[in-house]
Amino acid sequence: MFEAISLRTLLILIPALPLSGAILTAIFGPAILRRQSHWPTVLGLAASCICSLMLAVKWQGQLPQDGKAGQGVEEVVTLWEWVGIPQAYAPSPATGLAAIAATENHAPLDFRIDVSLRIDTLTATMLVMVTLISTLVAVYSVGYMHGDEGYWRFFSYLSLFVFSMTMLVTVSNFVMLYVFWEGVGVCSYLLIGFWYRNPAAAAAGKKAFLVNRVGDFGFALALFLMWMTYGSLSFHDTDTVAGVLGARRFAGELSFVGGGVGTAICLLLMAGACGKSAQFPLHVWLPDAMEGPTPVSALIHAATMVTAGVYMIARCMPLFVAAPQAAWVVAWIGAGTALMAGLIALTQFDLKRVLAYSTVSQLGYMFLALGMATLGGVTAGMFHLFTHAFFKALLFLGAGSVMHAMGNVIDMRRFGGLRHRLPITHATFAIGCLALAGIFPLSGFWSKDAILAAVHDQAHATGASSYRVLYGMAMGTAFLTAFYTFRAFFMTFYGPQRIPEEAGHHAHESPKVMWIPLVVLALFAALVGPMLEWTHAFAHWLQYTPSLAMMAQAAGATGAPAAFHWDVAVTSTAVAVAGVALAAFLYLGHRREVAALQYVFRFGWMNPSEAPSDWESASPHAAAVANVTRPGGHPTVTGHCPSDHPSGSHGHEHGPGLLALPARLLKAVGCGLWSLLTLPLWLGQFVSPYQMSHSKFFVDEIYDVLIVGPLRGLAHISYVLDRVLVDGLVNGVGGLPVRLGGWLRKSQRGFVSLYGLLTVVGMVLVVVVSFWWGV
Amino acid sequence: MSDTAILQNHLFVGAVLFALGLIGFLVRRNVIVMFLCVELMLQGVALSLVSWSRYHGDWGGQMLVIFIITVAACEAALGLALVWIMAQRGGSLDIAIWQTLRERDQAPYTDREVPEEDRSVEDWPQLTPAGVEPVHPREEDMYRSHV
Amino acid sequence: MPTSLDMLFRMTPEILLIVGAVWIIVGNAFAPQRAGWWVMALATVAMAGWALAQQGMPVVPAPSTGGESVHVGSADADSVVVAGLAIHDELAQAIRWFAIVLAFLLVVMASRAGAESLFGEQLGSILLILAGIMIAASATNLVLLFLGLELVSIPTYILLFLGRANRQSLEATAKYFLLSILASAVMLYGFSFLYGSTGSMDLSRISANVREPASPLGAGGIWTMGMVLVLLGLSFKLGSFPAHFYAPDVYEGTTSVNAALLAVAPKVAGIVALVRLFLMNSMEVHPFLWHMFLLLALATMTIGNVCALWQNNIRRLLAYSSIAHAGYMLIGLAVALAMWKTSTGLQGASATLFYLVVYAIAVLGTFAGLAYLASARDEIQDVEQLAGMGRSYPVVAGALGLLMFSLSGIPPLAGFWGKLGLFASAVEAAGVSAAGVRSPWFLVLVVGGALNAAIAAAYYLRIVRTLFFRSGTQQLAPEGGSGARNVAVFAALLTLAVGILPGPLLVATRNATCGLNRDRAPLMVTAAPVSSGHQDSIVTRP
Repeated sequence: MFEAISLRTLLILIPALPLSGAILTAIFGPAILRRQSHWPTVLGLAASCICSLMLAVKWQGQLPQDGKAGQGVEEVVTLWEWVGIPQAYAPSPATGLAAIAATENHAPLDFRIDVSLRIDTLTATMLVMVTLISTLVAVYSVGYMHGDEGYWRFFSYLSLFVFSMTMLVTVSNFVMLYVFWEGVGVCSYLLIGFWYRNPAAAAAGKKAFLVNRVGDFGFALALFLMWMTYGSLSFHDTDTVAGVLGARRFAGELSFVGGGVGTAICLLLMAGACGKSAQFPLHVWLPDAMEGPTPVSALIHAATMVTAGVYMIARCMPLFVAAPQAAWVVAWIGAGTALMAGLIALTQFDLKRVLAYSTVSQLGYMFLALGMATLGGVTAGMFHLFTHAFFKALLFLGAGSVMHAMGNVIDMRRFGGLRHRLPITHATFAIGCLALAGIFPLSGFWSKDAILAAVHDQAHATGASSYRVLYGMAMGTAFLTAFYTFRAFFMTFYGPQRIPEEAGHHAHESPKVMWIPLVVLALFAALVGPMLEWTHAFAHWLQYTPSLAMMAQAAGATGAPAAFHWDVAVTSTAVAVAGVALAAFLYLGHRREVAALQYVFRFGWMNPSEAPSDWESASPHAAAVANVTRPGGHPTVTGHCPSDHPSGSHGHEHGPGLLALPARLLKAVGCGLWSLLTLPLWLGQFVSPYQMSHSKFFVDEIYDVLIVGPLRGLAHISYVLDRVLVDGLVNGVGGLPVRLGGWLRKSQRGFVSLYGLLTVVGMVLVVVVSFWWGV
Repeated sequence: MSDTAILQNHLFVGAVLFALGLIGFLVRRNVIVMFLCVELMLQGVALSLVSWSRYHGDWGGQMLVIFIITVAACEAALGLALVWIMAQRGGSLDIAIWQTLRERDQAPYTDREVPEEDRSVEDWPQLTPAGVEPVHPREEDMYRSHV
Repeated sequence: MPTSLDMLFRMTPEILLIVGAVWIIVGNAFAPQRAGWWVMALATVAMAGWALAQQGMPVVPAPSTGGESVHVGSADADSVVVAGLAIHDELAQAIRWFAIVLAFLLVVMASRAGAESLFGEQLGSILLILAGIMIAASATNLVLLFLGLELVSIPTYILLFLGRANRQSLEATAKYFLLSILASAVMLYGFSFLYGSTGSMDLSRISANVREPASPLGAGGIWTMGMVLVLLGLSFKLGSFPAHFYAPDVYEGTTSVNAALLAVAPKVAGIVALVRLFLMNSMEVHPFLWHMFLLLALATMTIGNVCALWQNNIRRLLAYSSIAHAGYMLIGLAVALAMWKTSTGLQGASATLFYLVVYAIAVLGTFAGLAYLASARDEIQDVEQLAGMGRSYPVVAGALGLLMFSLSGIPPLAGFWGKLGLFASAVEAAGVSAAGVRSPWFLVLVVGGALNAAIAAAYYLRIVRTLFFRSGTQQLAPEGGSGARNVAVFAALLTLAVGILPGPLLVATRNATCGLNRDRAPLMVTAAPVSSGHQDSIVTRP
């Protein structure tokens, strides 16, 4: 039976099953299925997942077994021709002769878009990841969304999303890619604004959509430019035209375009990727997208959709190889975003927002890896994408579980010490945190280490100082990641137990249908990394992708895409452990955050008179609020609810003696980093670094001032102009036909003789005018 | 007279008939007279067609004239029925009383007021008095040629 | 005689329609009942359609694999059949098929029209009118053309009077009758000049302006004058500028079913007669004529649209809108006349036909919707009476709304393609300067047409707004019968379908006109010498 199902059938089934699930749910959900609306979706996704796994296994069997590097294997199934305009474009010799074969005989090119599905290792990887996680999330949602009035709607959207996403990674044409790129965008919009009665959710949906449009505009321009340059928008070679990423091009028969045009194409593609994958400066939508239901955050805004940009850049890697400057920009954008998002995540109190910024940061990591434009970099980036999907989905679902128990309260200042109330969530969340922080031997360690190694290799290979800086930034981000992850972990699960009153009687472990996916994901998060990376199996598997095969050729027959560097591994582990330790120091037991930050970032250590006074009683909540609301002022220390600080816990308190020195050193390093980054603003003493981070570097506010405000003003001006000038003009001109009609209808007085007379006069008039005109 | 000259004369008469009919249609307000004026125009057309036909030595024009007459007879049948109903409903043959269908706020067109009719006397149209049969010798009938 | 039999066979659809009509009219006098005669009329139309189908020559080609390719000039000369005075080429067949469709729709629509005792006359008149259209479409001779046109006119007089037994109906009939016979006289006078200048009743020779023997009274002048008079006479049928005055009054006075017929049948006949007369294969370019068409087009559409802005009476409004649409159709004819024998000219002619079909279906559906909503005692008069229909009768109101959008030329609907084709041909004519055409005037025409389309949208959308966004104050009892409603819905669906897939209809109209411009010598239908008294036509193809 297994052998009987062809690749073609599987390829069609994988997107078709979620689509039919979506349609069935939409048709039968509201009236018939009601509380059972999840069945079409869950079954469809599970079947799709099984198909994906079968597909991957079959495909594994079809790969060449000799292990020779640099051999691209792909299969394309063309279903039907969607658009066909014969002889649409006659390229002039100026537009890049080497890229278009047809110009040799100056034949006009057909514009053709096929609906064709492809299978290669990259697609297979994405398919397995997407369908597996979405199945688990769908199961989880059965519990999480239980009782929601839009139950069927949720599952219908979810299925539709999985359909779009599977198509996105399967299609073999840039236009189709764009179509489903927008398709997942629409599903994302619908799901962010799922609770559309909540104004914040509606606004967040709108923001996500609009910010994505900015990037998509670039993507569309890239497609136009690509069509002009390559004469095709297909990945694979068709009968007549060589595809952009086709075999003829990989065989060296035709070249990839570099130079100004190539760089422009790549940068525009990157703009699209930045929008979808939430990279600076288009990252602002992702944290707001957390207004959607938590399973959606887990699936779409952490694990799958946001990785579409990474997938696209990986797919287009040969173009980036041909335009190294663009790749360099990708690397810097990635590293900058990773660091910035990490810094922001340090001070957020919303658990989901911490995870959202962590997602942005990790995506930045992936971009950094792709920006190396080496085989090692790309495989490392894709590997990180793969592992990150599991542990980030796990973390989000864990956060959802916490939210579920806490009555939808997500502010970490309002709960704590939940490890006894939510034991399974606690355990799985811990695994996720360890993986995210990159602690040996969990998945995150392997993938992050691969990225660092790739950057390290590139730095050594080129000797360029910029790569060293990137390496440093990545290392710094690793530290930050470990810190904020465990900050969130400790704040949520440790310390004195606090439960907000909204929780009511819900404050217990989630139902089975919710924690089983958590456990499964935890297993994956723990095991995927060591299993796949111990032998570099993942990289070996991935390099059969045609887009990457060329780089594998360039890398030589050595076979090892990215060597394992002990020094990198040790350094990164040390840094991660340091981050965890700092988080433990600051949050385990008593919360010293505010005071410590006060001390560090207001440069108290330079001025002994400002030594921290009251560490223990500083309530994070009150102090943070005070700190934010009164810029530049001292935190107001209030006696908070005494039950939060039972006196027994004071026993753990150590004086500053033992840990003071390393802590101070770390603080000094952190401070130096801070002050460098925030120097311009900090110098003015307007805001403290803490506030900078807490307010997300004011990116939203800057956009508000620089873009939204002027646009709003412009809109108002044009509104006034429109009302006064254009409407006046139009109404004036618009009155003309009416007046003319009023004059002309005077002839219609109902008298037959008059009509006869007017007809005769009209005839004479027409004849005279025609004669006069003819002469 | 040459063929061309005959043709010109015929055409001229036809044109005059046509023009008279047209003018009559435009200036008269009696429905029957208007209808007859159109018939007059058709006669002008028929005359010119026949004269062209004669000039070209072709029967096509004459054929068309036959059909025109036939069609005009149909139209006359319909038209007179219509006129009868109009007279019955409107109590007058004046076309000017049929102006209710017009642009809503335009005044009906009146070049001259319709003269007041004396409603006291029912003045139905009558045949002219046939009078007394003229005296003629009976034998005259016998000599008359059969028409 | 084989030729006569053949001619009889070719004319079977018309004969069937006429015989059926007479049968119904006579029979109704003895057995006045609705259902039976209605079914009989439908059966007659179906039989006529079946007879037409026997003649082959499908207008719409089988869907080709390519999809986009239009078969220009693919019809071979052998497919043209000349039967006596009739010619059955692509144009004739296309219009005949269209007439069958129209006959079907009109009969279905009139299922409850008029008084019961006169129902047979109604149906018979409708059938006769459509037979007239079919005859006019296939006429290749002035006599047959005249008869066809009169067969359209005369039953119309009857039909108008049968509408409702009230004063308004009578007034409308009188106006239509008097002005119609006046226009007929003018047209006939034009015929006499055409005949005189060419010495032939044959259309192909007339349009070729063959002067043999040369006319004695100024060679080209008489011919031109004849053409001008014919055009002006036909403008009554079209409802275009110098003779459009009757339309609002008549439409207002009569019933919706009759108004539908008036808006469709004479227009189809008039357009096809214009095409026959002015656009035959050997037509020379006569600047004077296309100037006149252009002027008429501009004046007609402007008058129609600006006057429609003032209307509150829905049928008056639609009358003005039908005037405006006649103006749009004249655009295509002006282009065709100026650029004949080029592909642009062909495009103009086929765009006119396309527009004609689309307009006819849409306006038929609109009046059918109004007929359905009318009560037994009175028609819908004011636009305001439609308020709230969107809620009370969503199906019919939806169909009406769709048709309004189509008439105003909103993109996904058929009307858009019609306007697009016309304007595109005019733009092309403006760009090409061939045969001494002063091209910028076509640009003026296009701009004028576009402005007019914008003006037209105002009143069409007012109807839509009234239908859907106003709450109704009075209750209407729709008593027009389900037939009228079905026609309205069918027309709306057809409009939508053509809007989404305009290809087949475009190909069909293109094919219908390509026969006119075929590269073949004019058909000489020479009458046998007068003396012999032998009336059979001999077809020679030099």
